[in-house]
Amino acid sequence: MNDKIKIVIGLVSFLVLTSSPFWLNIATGTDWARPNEVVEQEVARLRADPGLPCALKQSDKERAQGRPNREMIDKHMALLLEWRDQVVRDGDREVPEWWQDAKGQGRVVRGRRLEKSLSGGCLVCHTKKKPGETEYKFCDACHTYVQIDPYCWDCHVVP
Amino acid sequence: MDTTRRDFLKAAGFTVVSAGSVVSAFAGASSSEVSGGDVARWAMVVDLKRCQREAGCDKCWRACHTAHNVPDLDDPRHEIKWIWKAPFEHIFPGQVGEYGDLRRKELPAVVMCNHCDNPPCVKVCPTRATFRRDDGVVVMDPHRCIGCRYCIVGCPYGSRSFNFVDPWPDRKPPNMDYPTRMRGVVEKCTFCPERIVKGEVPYCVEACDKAGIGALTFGDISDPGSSVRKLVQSADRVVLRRKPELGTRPQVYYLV
Ligand code: HEC
Ligand code: HEC
Ligand code: HEC
Repeated sequence: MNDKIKIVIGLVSFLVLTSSPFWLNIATGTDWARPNEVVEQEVARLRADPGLPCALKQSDKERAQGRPNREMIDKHMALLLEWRDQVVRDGDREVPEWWQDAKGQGRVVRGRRLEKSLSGGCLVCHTKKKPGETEYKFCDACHTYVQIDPYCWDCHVVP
Repeated sequence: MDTTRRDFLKAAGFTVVSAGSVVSAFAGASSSEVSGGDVARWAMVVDLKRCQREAGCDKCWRACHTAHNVPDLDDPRHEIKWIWKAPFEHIFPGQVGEYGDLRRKELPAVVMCNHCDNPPCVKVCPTRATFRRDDGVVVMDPHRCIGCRYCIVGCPYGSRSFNFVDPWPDRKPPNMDYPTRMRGVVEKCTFCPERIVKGEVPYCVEACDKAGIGALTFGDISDPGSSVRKLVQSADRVVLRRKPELGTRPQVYYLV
């Protein structure tokens, strides 16, 4: 029974190795959620124009620092499903407060009134694709990276 | 992501439901009329005199189908329709006898989903994709539709269509602001909730009014002062509903 040391060393190095991605991420501050500059540039552009926050707000401090909107990254899928049920099943089409104008209607962004909608909401701000491009620039930048292909676009057409 | 929510619902739906549910749809019709109270009860009145006078008119359904991206497919077996025109004798079979007004019998009039107060399509739907809103509008939630087509069998008016093929293979529907449907889901007239919420009347009504025909009236029939209510109560006209004997209580009324 002289192998105790070896076993402990083996176990410890195993644990350190398998958990190393977490430590590395924490140490370097890497944000997995932004696979490429497309998302970064889009977010920077949107914060200046039109300046409205996204469907779920992040803290002002983080926003000022240009940090990613974790609320949206983590919850946008659930939010979309919630919106879908609210609009289609409950007839509730009220947009978030900060998207409303004085009359409680959606503000006009790029010539289009914001709606509680996938194509008439999210994609008004988050540009779809450039002419000639085949991908939805913003959304697909992430989705291609994590290898998912939401089927929403089968019906929710985007010019 | 091999299994989508729809695939799962499809499998679950088929397991849970037995074919008997279609048969039982008509059972349990209660005699009380729904509606009343603060909630609106949307209804449509079709003035047959005005509608039939314009036999070749296609304004209502063109407006609707363009706005809702309903495709115009070549193969009649794949036809999708939300609102269309049919000869009187098809709308009200048996209402005109051999010696009746034979000319009127053939003239087309508009038909659409009747938004029944007791809708059989809702009862047979295994996923509750189709349901009746509090304001009486019977809508389809295409997200939940698994394409089982029980509702098509359940509907006695043929108001529902199934997407046998991809409706917009080129991804260029006429109205980019409204979602399309995809292969494998059912669709039908919705009474335009997206317009009701803004206080506007459905596209078909708007188009009919714009053309100066005024055959379609839309409104809250639970409100005694509404124009639909007054039309339905008019003393000098016969008011018909389609197949009332089935107990579905349609909310599309025809003034003869
Ligand atoms: C089978 C076609 C179809 C698919 C697939 C589909 N939708 Fe929809 N969706 C519709 C239709 C049609 C409406 C409009 C219903 C109405 O306005 O009455 C709609 C409405 C919505 C709405 C509210 C209003 C709007 O215009 O956006 C949201 C939000 C939504 N869908 C989200 C989604 C999401 C998220 C997905 C993917 C997970 C998805 N949908 C997939 C057909 C579809
Ligand atoms: C009014 C314009 C606007 C609309 C509409 C909008 N967003 Fe955003 N979105 C932004 C802005 C601005 C940011 C940057 C974070 C912030 O300032 O809130 C953002 C950030 C995001 C992010 C996080 C990106 C990152 O890495 O930080 C996601 C994901 C996102 N939006 C998805 C959506 C979805 C899904 C919808 C529809 C429900 C939507 N957005 C609607 C403006 C908008
Ligand atoms: C910052 C990266 C990022 C951006 C930007 C982003 N998404 Fe996502 N999205 C994800 C990730 C990651 C998932 C997968 C979550 C999971 O499966 O656990 C996802 C999942 C989804 C889903 C659910 C898919 C499913 O099948 O369950 C929908 C719907 C969706 N995103 C819509 C959008 C839309 C619309 C936009 C653009 C307005 C958008 N997303 C932008 C990262 C992103």
